[in-house]
Amino acid sequence: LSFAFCLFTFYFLLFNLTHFFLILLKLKLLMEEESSPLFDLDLQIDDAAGSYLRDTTKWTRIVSIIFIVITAIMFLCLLAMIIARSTMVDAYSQNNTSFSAYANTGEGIFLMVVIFMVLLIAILSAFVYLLLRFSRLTKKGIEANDQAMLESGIASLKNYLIITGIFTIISVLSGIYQFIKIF
Amino acid sequence: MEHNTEDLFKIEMSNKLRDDLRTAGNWAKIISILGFVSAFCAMMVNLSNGSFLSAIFGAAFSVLLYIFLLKFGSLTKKGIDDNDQDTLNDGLLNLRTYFKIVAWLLIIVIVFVVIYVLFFVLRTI
Repeated sequence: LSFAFCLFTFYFLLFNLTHFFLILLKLKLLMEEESSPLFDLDLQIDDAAGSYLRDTTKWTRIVSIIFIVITAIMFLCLLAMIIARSTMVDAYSQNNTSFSAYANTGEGIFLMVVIFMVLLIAILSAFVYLLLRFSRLTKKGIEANDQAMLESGIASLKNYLIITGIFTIISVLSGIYQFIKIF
Repeated sequence: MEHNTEDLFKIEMSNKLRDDLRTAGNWAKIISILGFVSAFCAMMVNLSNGSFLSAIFGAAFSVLLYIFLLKFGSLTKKGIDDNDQDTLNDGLLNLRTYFKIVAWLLIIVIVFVVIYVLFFVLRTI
């Protein structure tokens, strides 16, 4: 009887221990399950963010179209300047009050203006390219649920903001220079 | 045809997207702070030249423009760092408003330039 009792106790303990470990395992699994919602709460481009980004691409497309028009007008001006080169050089040679240091060097002033305009057209073209790329890729990425496309679009936005930032730094430096010159 | 919007916009915020948005936010903050400084300098230069109207208008438009860019930069960065979806969405909403204002300002400027050119051409004729 005592043997049977011992066996019973042994099995009872074994059962309880197994049960205890099973409960522990269940608890562990539960805890893991509880920690998994953290991934669900992680950031994503959800409904609202997607619609905001899509609206943004609409406006950036309008901005880039306006930039294209401005760039085209500037390009036409540059072409007109190059065609009417001799007249422009004469005009700069005669009316050089603002460039008094370069008196009688109409050719040099003309070249300077042309280089400045070419630089401006190049900068505007870079803005247009990046904004259009952002608009196209972000819109497509959100509509097609394409991760890689959206990433490329946002990278274009980043590059656009970096270039804008560099030119803002230059404009602020020139602004501070004018400010100091006055006071 | 009705789309299931919950399934439509479920793009993960990958590390690349996170880094790019954070960098974009940082640059947006730099641009807006420098823009405020530039607007202040321009306002002082205009005031010293005696053109009060252009000083006031220039400063008002600059503040209106850069405040949304600053909000985009700070809110997007905060949303990504704190893992807060609502803050991130607010940041993106401010980006939309910024580009909306830029587009409207450009349209207004283009309209004024066209009116000026038309006036000039009509006067010469």
